[in-house]
Amino acid sequence: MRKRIRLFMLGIVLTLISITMIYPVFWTILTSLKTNRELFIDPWGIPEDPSIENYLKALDRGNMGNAAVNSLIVSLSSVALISIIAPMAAYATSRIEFRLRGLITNLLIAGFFIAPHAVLVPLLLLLRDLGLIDTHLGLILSYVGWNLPFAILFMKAFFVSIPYSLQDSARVDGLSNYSIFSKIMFPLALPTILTVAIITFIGVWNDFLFAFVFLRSPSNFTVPINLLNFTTGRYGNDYVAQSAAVIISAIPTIVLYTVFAERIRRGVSFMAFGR
Amino acid sequence: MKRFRESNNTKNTFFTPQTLRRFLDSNSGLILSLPALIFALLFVFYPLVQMFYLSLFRWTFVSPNMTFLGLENFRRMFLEDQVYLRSLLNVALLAGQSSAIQIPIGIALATIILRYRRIGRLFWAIIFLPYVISSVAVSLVWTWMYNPYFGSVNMFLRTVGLGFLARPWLGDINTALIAIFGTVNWIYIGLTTTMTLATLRSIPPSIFESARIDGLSGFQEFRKITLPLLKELIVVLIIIDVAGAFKFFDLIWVMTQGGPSDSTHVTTTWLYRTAFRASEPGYGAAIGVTVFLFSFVIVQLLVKLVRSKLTR
Repeated sequence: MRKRIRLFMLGIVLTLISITMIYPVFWTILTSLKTNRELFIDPWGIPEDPSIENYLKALDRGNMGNAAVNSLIVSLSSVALISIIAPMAAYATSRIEFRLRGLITNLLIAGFFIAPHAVLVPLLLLLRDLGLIDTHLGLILSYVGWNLPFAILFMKAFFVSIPYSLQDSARVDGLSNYSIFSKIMFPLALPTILTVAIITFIGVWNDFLFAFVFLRSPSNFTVPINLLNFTTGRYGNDYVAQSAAVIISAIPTIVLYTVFAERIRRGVSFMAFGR
Repeated sequence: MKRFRESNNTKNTFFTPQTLRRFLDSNSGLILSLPALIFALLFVFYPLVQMFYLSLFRWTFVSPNMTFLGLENFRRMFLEDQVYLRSLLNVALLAGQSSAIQIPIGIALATIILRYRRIGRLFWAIIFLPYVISSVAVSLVWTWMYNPYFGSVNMFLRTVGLGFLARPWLGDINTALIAIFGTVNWIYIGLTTTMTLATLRSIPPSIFESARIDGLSGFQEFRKITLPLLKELIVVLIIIDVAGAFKFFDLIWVMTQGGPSDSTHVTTTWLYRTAFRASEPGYGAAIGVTVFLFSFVIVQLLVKLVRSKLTR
């Protein structure tokens, strides 16, 4: 009996926590289907005539459609570059002996322990010198530079787990290190690369800081900065349209999360033990 | 490897496909690392080094003139800049409350999820969800939750008879920081739980089995096996919270912009304000130097400390 009561209490606590986690998202979805009048009259009310008008407004006048395309370009480009560069470096620093390997490994992963916020000023100067302020290329290169350290750390953990015998026998067969990498190691690492790619995609899609500092023109805005822009501009009081914009911004990452939940959580918890 | 290097050292190295091949082959490690190395040097280390130099000057983005100040920026920061000092306090509060609240709850939830696997899976999926939504979106949603006119927080308080607590949470200097902390915990509880679960799952079940054969009770089992492992995890989580507090920016910028009356600034939002809004990038770079030193160096020291303690 006492066990029953304990289980019951536990159930209540878990339900309350779940409601707290879900409620803000649920409220925003509900609000995005309302009119502003309905929102102010009864914030908890059910929309009388639910319509997707707010979504169309957010996509069109709120520039969310254009921003989503920009974010897609920036995220996919960054992910593509990282998916090639990171495994190369991770393989080399884990499995090939060369001079200064220790130093180079440290240089490659140090960024993981540094807050990019600290270097915003010199980073902006660098992009200015390269003529890349307010460009997607500048943003992409910055994302690659600052996301590589985690990607390399994560990939290294995979490569050190591969038995040496594999690469030794390939060597005996006369394969160069390049062929070993491209023909054996890279294909073998594909599942790990996918994990890195998904986590990087979510990180870049959601990033606010770099876009906020490096971009100037609304036509170049990525989703998070455009979202903020939408809430401070002419539509500053149009909360229902803003709610729709919030939901639009979250859809891609939530879809990825539903499909790859296990992978994402594994990758993310690696951040705690990646050293 | 040696063989290749010797043949490279012979003097008559004409540029033939063969010598090129040998060069590529004997330097494959460096060559494969090179693209990543270029990115690290150009986008991480070059700005990092330049930051120290820039922090010694007064200058603006529009003019080429730079006035050398020595360490004046740092003197001003620690002796005169009340907002900067307040931001350091806020970072400490943020790290402290994150550790104090998220870690115990995270461990409790992880234990429950492991124990009741079927319902635990769904619960886990739910509490991790906020982490994948962009911080700007989350900040906006919570700004609406705290809104004095249609915010759910005040409506809820009035419904349960606690209406006297209702207030403009983010606009009130006494509650703005607490309101932000609430959102922070809402986002990161799932992450802390996930990291704890990763640790608990890494314990091979055979350890528990042999413990049971040795006649350890459930409590002894927790104390002798689970707790020592969790100790390591707790220290790691605290390090993450400290480092994370110095990386905090989005939430505070979107929810309060550091207000009301600069009471909710963290170091990074104050850096942004001074460097890009008040046009004092030299001073901003100096704040950046302290952010780097505090977060990177302190965290590295903590890591070293933990490592030496754990491997002893």
